[in-house]
Amino acid sequence: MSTVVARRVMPVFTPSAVSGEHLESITVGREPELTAIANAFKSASTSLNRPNLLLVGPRGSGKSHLISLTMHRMSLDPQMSSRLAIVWLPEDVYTITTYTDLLRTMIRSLGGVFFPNSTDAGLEDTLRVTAGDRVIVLVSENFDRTLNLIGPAGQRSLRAFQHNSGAFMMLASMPAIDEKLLDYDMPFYGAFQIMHLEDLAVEQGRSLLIKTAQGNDDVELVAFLESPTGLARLRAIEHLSGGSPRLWLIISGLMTVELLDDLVPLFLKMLDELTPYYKARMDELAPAKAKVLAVLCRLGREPDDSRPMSVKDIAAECAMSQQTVSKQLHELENARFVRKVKNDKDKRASYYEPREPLLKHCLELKSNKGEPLSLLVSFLSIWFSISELMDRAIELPDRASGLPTIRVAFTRRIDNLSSAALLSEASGTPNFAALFCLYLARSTATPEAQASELSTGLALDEMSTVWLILFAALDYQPFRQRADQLMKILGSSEERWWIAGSFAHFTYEHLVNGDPTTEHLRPGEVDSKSPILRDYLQPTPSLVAKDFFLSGVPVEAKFKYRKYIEALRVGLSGAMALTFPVDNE
Amino acid sequence: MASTPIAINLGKLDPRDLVGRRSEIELCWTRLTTGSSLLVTGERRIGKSSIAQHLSFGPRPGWIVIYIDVEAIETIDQLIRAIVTAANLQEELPRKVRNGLSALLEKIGKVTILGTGIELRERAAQQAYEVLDQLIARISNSHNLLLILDELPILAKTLAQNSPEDALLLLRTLRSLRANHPNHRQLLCGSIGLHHLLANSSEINAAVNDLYTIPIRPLQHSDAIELAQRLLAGIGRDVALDDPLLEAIVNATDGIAFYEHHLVASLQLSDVVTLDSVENARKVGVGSQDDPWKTVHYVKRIDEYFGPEADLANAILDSVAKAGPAGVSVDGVLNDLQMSLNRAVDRQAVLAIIHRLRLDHYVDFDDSVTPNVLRFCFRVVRDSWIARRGR
Repeated sequence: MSTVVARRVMPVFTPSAVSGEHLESITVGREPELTAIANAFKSASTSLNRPNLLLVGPRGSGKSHLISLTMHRMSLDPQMSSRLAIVWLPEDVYTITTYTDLLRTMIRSLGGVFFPNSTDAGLEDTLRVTAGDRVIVLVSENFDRTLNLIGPAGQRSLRAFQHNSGAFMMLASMPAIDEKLLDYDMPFYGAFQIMHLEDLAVEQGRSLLIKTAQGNDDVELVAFLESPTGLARLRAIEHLSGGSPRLWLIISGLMTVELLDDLVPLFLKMLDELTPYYKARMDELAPAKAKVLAVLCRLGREPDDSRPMSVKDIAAECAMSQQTVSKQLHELENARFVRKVKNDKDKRASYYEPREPLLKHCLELKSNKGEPLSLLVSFLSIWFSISELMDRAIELPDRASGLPTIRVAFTRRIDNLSSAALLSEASGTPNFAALFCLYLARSTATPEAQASELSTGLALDEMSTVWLILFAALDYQPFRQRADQLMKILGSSEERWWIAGSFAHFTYEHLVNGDPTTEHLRPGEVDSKSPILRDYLQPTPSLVAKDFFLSGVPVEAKFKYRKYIEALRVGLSGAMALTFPVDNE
Repeated sequence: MASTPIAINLGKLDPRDLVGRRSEIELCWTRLTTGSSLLVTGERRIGKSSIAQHLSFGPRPGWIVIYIDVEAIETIDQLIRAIVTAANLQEELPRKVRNGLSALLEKIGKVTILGTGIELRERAAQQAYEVLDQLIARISNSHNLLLILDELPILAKTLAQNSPEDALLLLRTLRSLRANHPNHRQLLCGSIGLHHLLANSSEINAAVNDLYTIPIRPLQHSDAIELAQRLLAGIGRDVALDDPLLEAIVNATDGIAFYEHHLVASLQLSDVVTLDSVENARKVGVGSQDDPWKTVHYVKRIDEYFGPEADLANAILDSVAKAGPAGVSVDGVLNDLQMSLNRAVDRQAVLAIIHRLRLDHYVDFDDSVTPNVLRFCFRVVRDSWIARRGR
């Protein structure tokens, strides 16, 4: 049972309202950007350089967080603080609509005064005098909005002021690069060092949550987050929500062990918080764009179908021309609503998907009363732990109806994972070999590429296992041919075959018999009197398996090749039949 | 020996951090001291402003240099006010002269362009001339005066939007000042837009044909290598001058400082810096949707610049891009055009377009081989062209 802990409330939409120390404590994965900003500040404070930095990322990507943290760090450096005069415009500033307003706001921010009827040139002088020897740092969030408001003439003035006076540098942010503001004919063309803020990876998200839980002294939650099950849950969250830092922060404010272990209520809570935000974003879009986005989210269609769509399919669904849809998608991509993805099976067409999966779920929640979402979460929360998936498949009371759904989802999941990610999830579970077999069987990569990929992610014994299971699914002759080819690449030794055979067989045993007491075979854990060894592995003086199976005791063994292969074939198809009955395709 | 680090900076550059450009700066001073005023041309972000600002940062003895970025200026009276204000800040000038300049500021309010009549505009231009004439005369008593007007084509374009004659009046006024004051020089900076502005009007051309043109090219190879080394040092990665990374960076960026800053900026965000990461950064720079290196305009502006002949210009560039580093002869281009356009093409028309593309620094002839072949001037532009056009 989890203990109740006092939670620190984190205002996820206004990092500027949070103490610097706390921001520091929950910052993960942004050091390169922070270093780049610090270097720019240092350069401006010690030379005549006046660099301009632009942080670009969708809402919730951590732009304000980075800016707030930068301000905090700068305040701790007395030398830099004394040389820089910070003008930090509010994120949603409504009082600036002209260049004159901007100058006046900057002067006021630095404690200066001006005559009401001052010209822009006069205000520029006043600003310079107010700053004195200090370099002004204009910090502007949603800078695209400010640029739009002051217009092309104001932009020209701002740029010229910087060049003529050398009085200031800029640290700005915007959710997406606005072509109209930064193109060749515009004053700020090429004038910014642009840093895109990418989403946080699962491990980074986990670090963030652990840091937050530690800050709350929630020992139990920390332990859960550090466990494989906790990681599996977070993968599910990341898959459903994308990796937006703000979403991770929202999760951090909501989570308990119980909630995290049962994803459905956690997601419903999160969606509740975010639905107004996404609705507002959708409302900002022109009708044609909103329609394209809604179709791309597959609203009203099968809930677990999250595959990217081609322009052609979207156009057909929207009853628009492909040209129109392409234009809308291009603009949606620039605004970071959607992203283009590759489709290896159709390299010529452009495929798109929503950039933030939660948008789809929020809209779905509104339109479908949450039912499909619950189903999806429920399934995914299992799928992300491979063992649980297998167990659930075995335990399902009505396999005929339940298995096909799992199978489809499982297959999609495999398709979307790299071998390294798959390994990270599946390694150490009894079913990982079968999983890899599926993955490899689906892979279109050459044997050389597969071998290379696997050898970077797999230990020797695991690697051999995977290959053997894969081959076992083939007919004998093709198997031999491919085995010879691959073993050359892998630098084959018979020990590997021997080890691999044992692994694969035990996997088969486990899957077919469903015996939970059967331990997954690991080096040093094999009973030398095992019937498996007796039946399939024949001791022989010609080969030495050294320490792999019997701890510290060299064993001379050789497996009975044909019989073993036969066993693998039977075993694998048995396992496949159990978990993924073909007749329910 | 560790190199002196330079911070990545795509804003205003510290003139002391300017790498290379010694020959260009020396050429500027040589021409200025021997009586010429200058027109410094080149693509945006090639380094014109950095050179101009360097001239103002370290003027020769006896010179007063006034640097003004005129991009934001919309009227002639604003320009005059900016010039007088900048002159007033020159601490090298005797106090008496500066006091006199302050008095000039009071006259500026009267120098405005009223209405649309040509007489009024000419009168305003005359008043502008008189103010500047007095300003130059006062400064020239003690110093040579170099007036640098950066981004002048943008100001000319802004004025021309009001009336084409306004741009002409400005250029004529500036020319008169050059002609009438032996101790006064001007350095006018302009990107490719100025070339197009001038090409469209022989009158405008006549107003600037006394200027000595200095085209700004990419950095010399050794300077580009030094810049790459110092930028890497600026992000905490010290490498030797013969490190292959430097050659790779220069090769990927054509030795254009702007792209070097961009490329190293993206390396700054990587965990490791390798030849592969340089190549990846280059690919993203020239081809990604976000256009981080600002190369999309090379493709987009063809329509604007070439109007009804844009198809032909695009097809020529496609042909040259396809030929790669080896280049292609004019005959080869003609063959390609007949296939791609599916019609006969006039050789003279093609040569005329090629001429304009050369002026815009897209392509140039390599006469070291026979026959002459056309190549893209810059790898960055060629790669971007291929990436954006899918050719």
